[in-house]
Amino acid sequence: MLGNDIVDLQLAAKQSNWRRKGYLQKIFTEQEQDLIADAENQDQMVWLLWSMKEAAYKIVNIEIGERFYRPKSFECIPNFSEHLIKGKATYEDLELDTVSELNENFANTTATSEQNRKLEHYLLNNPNTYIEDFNKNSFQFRLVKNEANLPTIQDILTEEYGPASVSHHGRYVSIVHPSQFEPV
Amino acid sequence: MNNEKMINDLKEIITPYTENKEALNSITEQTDFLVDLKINSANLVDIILDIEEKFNIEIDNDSMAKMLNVKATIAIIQEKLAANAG
Repeated sequence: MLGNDIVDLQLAAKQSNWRRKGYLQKIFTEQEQDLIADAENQDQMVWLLWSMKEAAYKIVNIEIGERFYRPKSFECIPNFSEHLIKGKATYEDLELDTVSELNENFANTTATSEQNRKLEHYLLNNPNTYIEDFNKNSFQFRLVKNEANLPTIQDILTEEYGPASVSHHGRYVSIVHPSQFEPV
Repeated sequence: MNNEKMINDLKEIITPYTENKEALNSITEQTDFLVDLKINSANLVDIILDIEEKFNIEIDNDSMAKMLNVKATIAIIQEKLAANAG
């Protein structure tokens, strides 16, 4: 299972004032608040952790089949030793792996419950035409919405369908799906 | 406090965070903050902080978890107000 989340840092700076009193305490654990306090770039750290929580939430939401707003219950630990930030997101007894990209423009995280599954990532720029844009540029995969209006990927050669996760915010659309998938 | 007054107070709080302003005109108890009003999930915490200030209540993590629509949010506010009064 997989889930992703992208934060456009330019839009986030306009939409949210995370410095307001009580904001960080409501959504981040003490350990995460320490990471933010110690970060060289606090804005980037806030939105990195937030994208990790949202990506992990998407998996838990599908697993338990229920929506909820409990960001503080996702404990997120990014590991900055590599170019791509690998991390962990833990919700109750469920531990998920995350991989994030962080720069001055965006924080983009994919969470997965299957550690070694190879994934395909795409970053597009137009929220209104991303499906057509994706399909124009992909030889192997086709992005479609299923009956429940959820994004699904189809392998053009095998005609099998697999899961896809799409997130958009501001200037960006982030798409992720497994490189290979079994018949569903 | 009656529900109508409560919905109006709530409407005032959520207006600045609402992307779909038209949907505010037809707000009911069933209105969903994310699905119907297109509120960004990072702004739900602003709404919760604004509610705490406006009603002088404290909203814990378990209560916050349910606050995705007007009905659940009003129920939480009523519950916290009752606890404060008692």
